[in-house]
Amino acid sequence: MRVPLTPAPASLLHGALAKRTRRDRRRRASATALFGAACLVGGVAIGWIAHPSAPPAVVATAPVHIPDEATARFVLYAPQAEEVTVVGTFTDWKPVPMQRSGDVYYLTLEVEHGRHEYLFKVDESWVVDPAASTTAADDFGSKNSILMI
Amino acid sequence: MIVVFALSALAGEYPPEVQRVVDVAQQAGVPTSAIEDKAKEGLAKGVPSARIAEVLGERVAQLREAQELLGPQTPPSLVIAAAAALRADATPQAIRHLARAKGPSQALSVQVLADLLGSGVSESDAIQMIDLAASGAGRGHAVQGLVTAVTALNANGHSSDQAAAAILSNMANGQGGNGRPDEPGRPANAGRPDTPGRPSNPGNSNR
Repeated sequence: MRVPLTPAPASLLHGALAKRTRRDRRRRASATALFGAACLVGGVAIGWIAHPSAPPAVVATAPVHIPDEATARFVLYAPQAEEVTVVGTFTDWKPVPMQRSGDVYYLTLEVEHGRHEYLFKVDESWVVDPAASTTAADDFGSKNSILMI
Repeated sequence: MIVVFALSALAGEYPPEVQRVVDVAQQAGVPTSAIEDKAKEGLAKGVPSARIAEVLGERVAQLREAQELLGPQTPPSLVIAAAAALRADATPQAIRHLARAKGPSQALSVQVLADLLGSGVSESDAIQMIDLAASGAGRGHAVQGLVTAVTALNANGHSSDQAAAAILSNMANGQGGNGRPDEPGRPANAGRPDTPGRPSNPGNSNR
């Protein structure tokens, strides 16, 4: 028996999401602001990329299932950024610099199982991960991305 | 003595008005990890100390309420989740129900209740969804996936009520995932022929 994929509630969406078209996804990706990201959680990648000067593209990788691996991979497309960090509960709210490769920033972190809140800090701006499946109000007037592992 | 030591160890870590609330939480015996985490978040974001202290004060009150609701022996993770649920306007009955339910993780279930309410799902629908998910194949993972499922359906144009109804319907029909109960889920778009290409992922080289 396969263990279910952590951030993949497709089972619960059966039928409903099947109606999503490629055009829908592109429209959604195009509407996203300057940044795009993909977050790989326990070996499962989700997310999309969007940038005004780049052709809209959707990241939707096939799952590579590693059930016991408590790692999260963050990928952010931010060509104009000088520095990108990941900040969240799993970093004790201290910035952890992402590595850069061309226009893409990436980082893999070991993260404890559970629910975590985080953000990207792109230069001086706080950015919610567009690839995060869920966000939550932070009570300070903004939102955090939610990561469930 | 231990409290004094702990308080002195913490002294100076936060601005005075924030520190005062952290101390209050410590003395109240509520889980301070949630308070300190929020303090660190506020400081990292450059939120004024007065506002951080205000938010922390509310959280301490919610943690106290949660602890009173569930009893003094309740694990901290469950108290923290219950406080989050109270913040999301969950009723005490709903929180107690999930906190006492058999399942992989009561704290997870209560936290998911908070997140579902935050997504606009009604409490009765949320409870049904969590109960069904916790009792079926996948259990913890299925519970965990509920919020993502609702959010995805919201993004696809469904209201939260519609999303909850669709999810409940599928769960009731035994469609743990793609019609295979023992295989509760995979990303909806995984392997779809209409999935556009993706850019190279430099992180892959690290795997």
